[in-house]
Amino acid sequence: MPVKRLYFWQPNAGVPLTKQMFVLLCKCIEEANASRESRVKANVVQYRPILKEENQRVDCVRDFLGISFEEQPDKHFFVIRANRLVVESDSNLPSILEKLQSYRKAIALAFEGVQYRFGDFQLKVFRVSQTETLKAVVMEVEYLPLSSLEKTRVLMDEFLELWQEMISLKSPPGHLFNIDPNFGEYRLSDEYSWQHTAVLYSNAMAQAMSN
Amino acid sequence: MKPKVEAKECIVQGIIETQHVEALEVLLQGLCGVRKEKLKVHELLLKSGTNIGTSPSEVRLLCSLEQPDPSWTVSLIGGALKGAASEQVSALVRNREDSKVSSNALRFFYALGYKLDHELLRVGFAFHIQRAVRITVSVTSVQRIPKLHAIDEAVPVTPGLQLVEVSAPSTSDNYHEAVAAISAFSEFLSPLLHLSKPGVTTGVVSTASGAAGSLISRGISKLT
Repeated sequence: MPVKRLYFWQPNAGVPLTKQMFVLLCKCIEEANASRESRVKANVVQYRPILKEENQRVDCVRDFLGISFEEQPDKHFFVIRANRLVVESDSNLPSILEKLQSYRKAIALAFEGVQYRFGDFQLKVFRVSQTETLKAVVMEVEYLPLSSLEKTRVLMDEFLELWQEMISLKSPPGHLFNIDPNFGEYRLSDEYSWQHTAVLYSNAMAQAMSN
Repeated sequence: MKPKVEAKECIVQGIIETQHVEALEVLLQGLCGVRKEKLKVHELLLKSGTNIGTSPSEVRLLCSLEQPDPSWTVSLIGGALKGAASEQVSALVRNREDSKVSSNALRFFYALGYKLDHELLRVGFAFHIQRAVRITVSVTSVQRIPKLHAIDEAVPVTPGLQLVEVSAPSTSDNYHEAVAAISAFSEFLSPLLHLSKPGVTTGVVSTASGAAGSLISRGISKLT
C-alpha cells in the first residue's frame, strides 16, 4: 500500500490550539487547488489494566493502544509502545478483550477530518478530540504511486518543505512537524502496510496526550 | 433495550477407535460430498495473571500449521447455556468468539500478563457441510507437547482413540436451529460413534467394527 506520513500542527508560542487552526489548514489545501474527496475517521483507544488494588506491582504493560480506521472496517490494530509491538487482528478482538476483563478502555481519541487529492498525493486533515476537547490537529500525507519507505523518503521531505512554504504565505500561526517512528524497532519492513499506519497513529496519540 | 446478540457455538463430541477412523472418513465423505480438509492445530491455553482483572480469565491461541504460512486465531470460549434451557437441547451451547490475528499474538498476550497454562497439538481432518447452518466435523488425535512448543515431539494423550467433534456457529438468537441441524446430522454417524454434550461420557460403540467393515468395503468398491 502507498506510503503515509503523519504531521502535527504546532501553533506558534503563546498561540492556543483552536478549531480555527483546522479550518485554516483545510483552507490552505483547498486554495492550492486540491480536490476535496470525503470525510474520514479513525479512532485510537488507550487500554489500562484493571487492578485489584491501586499502585500494586503487576507483571504486565501499563497501557496499550487499540486503533481502527474507517477505511479498514474489518481490521483492528493494537500497539504496545513500551514493547515496540504492533498486532493486526479481525475487528472483533476488542470485543474479546472486553469480555476478558483484564484491561479497560481508559482514553478514547477521535480523529475526524477531510480527505483531499492533490496530484499523486492524498491528504487528510484531522482534528483530534477527546470527547469534545480538541487535543491536536494533524495532517496525513500519502504518496499514492509508491509503497517503499526508503524510496519515498526524500520526496516526502521535499513535499513537507513545499507545504511549510505555502502555509507560511497564508500565515496561520504555526507550522507542521513530523515524528518519524523507527519502524525497524517494530520489526516492520520497508514495504509500507496498515501496521505502519497503526504505529504512526499510536505516536499521534502519545503526542496529542502530551499537549 | 434489545439484548446484544452473542456469538455462540453448538457442539457435540464423541470418541472413536483409530482403527475405525478410515470408515468414518468414508461415511463423512459420502455425507458431505466434499474432500476432507487436513487439520494440524497447535493450541495454547493462556490464563490471566493473578493481580489483574476483575476475575481470572483464559483465552486460547490457535495456530493452524496445515498451510505453508501458519495462521493464528484468538479464541474465547465462554460459559455454556445453563438450567432448563440447556436441558431441552441435545448439544452444548456455549459462547465462542474467534478473531484472526497476526503471528505475534503470543507476545501480545504475554505482555498483557497472560501465562501459558498448557499447550496441545490436534492432528487429523475436518469436513464442512452446509445445512441450515454450516456444520464442521473434526476428527483429531489430541497430543500433548512434552517440552515448551516442541510440537515435533508431541505424543497422543489417548493412543488408539480419536476425538470427534460436530459443531456449528450460531448466535443467542438462532441456536435452536443449529442444535437441530447438529442432532439430525449426528444420527447419520450413530453406527460408528455416540455423540453427546462434552463432559458426558458415552464410550465407543460396540457395533462400530461391523459398521466400519461394511463402510470400508463399500467405500473401496465405490472408488474402484
